Amino acid sequence: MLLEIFLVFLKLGAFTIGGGVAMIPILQKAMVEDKKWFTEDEMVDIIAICQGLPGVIAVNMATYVGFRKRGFLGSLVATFGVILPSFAAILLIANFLTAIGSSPVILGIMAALRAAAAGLVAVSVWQVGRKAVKGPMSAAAALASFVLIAVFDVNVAVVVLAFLVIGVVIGLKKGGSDDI
Amino acid sequence: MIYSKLIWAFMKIGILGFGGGLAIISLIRDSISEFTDMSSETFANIVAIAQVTPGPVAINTATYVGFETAGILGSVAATVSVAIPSFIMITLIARMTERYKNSRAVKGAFAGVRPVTVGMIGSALITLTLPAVAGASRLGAGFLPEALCKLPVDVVSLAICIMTALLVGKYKKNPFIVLIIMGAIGGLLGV
Repeated sequence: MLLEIFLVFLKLGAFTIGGGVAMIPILQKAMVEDKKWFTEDEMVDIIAICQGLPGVIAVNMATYVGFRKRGFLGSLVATFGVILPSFAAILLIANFLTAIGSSPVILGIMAALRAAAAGLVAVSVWQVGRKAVKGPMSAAAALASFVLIAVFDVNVAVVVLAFLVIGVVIGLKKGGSDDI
Repeated sequence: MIYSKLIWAFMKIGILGFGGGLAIISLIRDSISEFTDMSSETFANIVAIAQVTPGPVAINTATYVGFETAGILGSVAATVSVAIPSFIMITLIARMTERYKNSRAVKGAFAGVRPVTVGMIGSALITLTLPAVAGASRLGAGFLPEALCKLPVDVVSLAICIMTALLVGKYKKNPFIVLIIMGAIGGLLGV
């Protein structure tokens, strides 16, 4: 199991260009469909926690999944797996930058993978949105937080905290339903 | 000592870095300026490379900045330090949410934060898509018709973006295979 966790996150780190958010559809497929470690609903909550807390989202996801599957050791191997490819790639580039930076083939691969990463993020908007938006209230909250972050450049921490408080207050009043 | 400065700076980044990736990069720039004299041009190059290399962008930037500042040990110090706060917070939260997942407050907290996740990913979509299709480095510029290359958007990159989204999202193809195919197309076309 530890080796399995390590390999999932190693692959995730090695194949995603564009960072943590582009990893979401790949992680979701691995966790929900292939390994069946979590349900789709559990996965959306894991993503919500990992994005809402500070830190590198990919590391947060690795730590959370690893911990839930195999405790402390699980989170250690998952995190190690997801950062190892970064480490190897960056050290390679830092040492041989000139040769890599001028090859049209490598630049072409990177440009294509960047475009593909944007496509993966579009998939994660859909996948997470479908599960997170459960009614008119949560749809309005999703739209409002998007506008606050993307248009008005409001600090993400402020937005997360504000909606967390709103959610807790409403949750305590209504007795905990899935929509706010 | 340079290592302790790196460790402290990157731990702080791990604690304060809300919103992942790009938010963390601006924190990195602010906090390393206190003890390195890295030019803003060097930093911009590092960030550009970090965005096109495999792995989380923030980890790539941390590794590179650590390497530039203090060699391999510096990159280990920076990368491990940025991950440690996540590690502590997430393991605590994972334990707590498991224990209290049926409480009204925790259910409410999730209901409140879930929609924000959609907003965050939506804004990440914009920050990733715009530079990828803006045409700074055009795929296939060597042999595609000139009229195509003069358009304000890089149509090849846009097509790759849309095809990836459809293949993975709609047709449920294996994302790793899709990425390998897209990378190969990019390598063949060149820039």
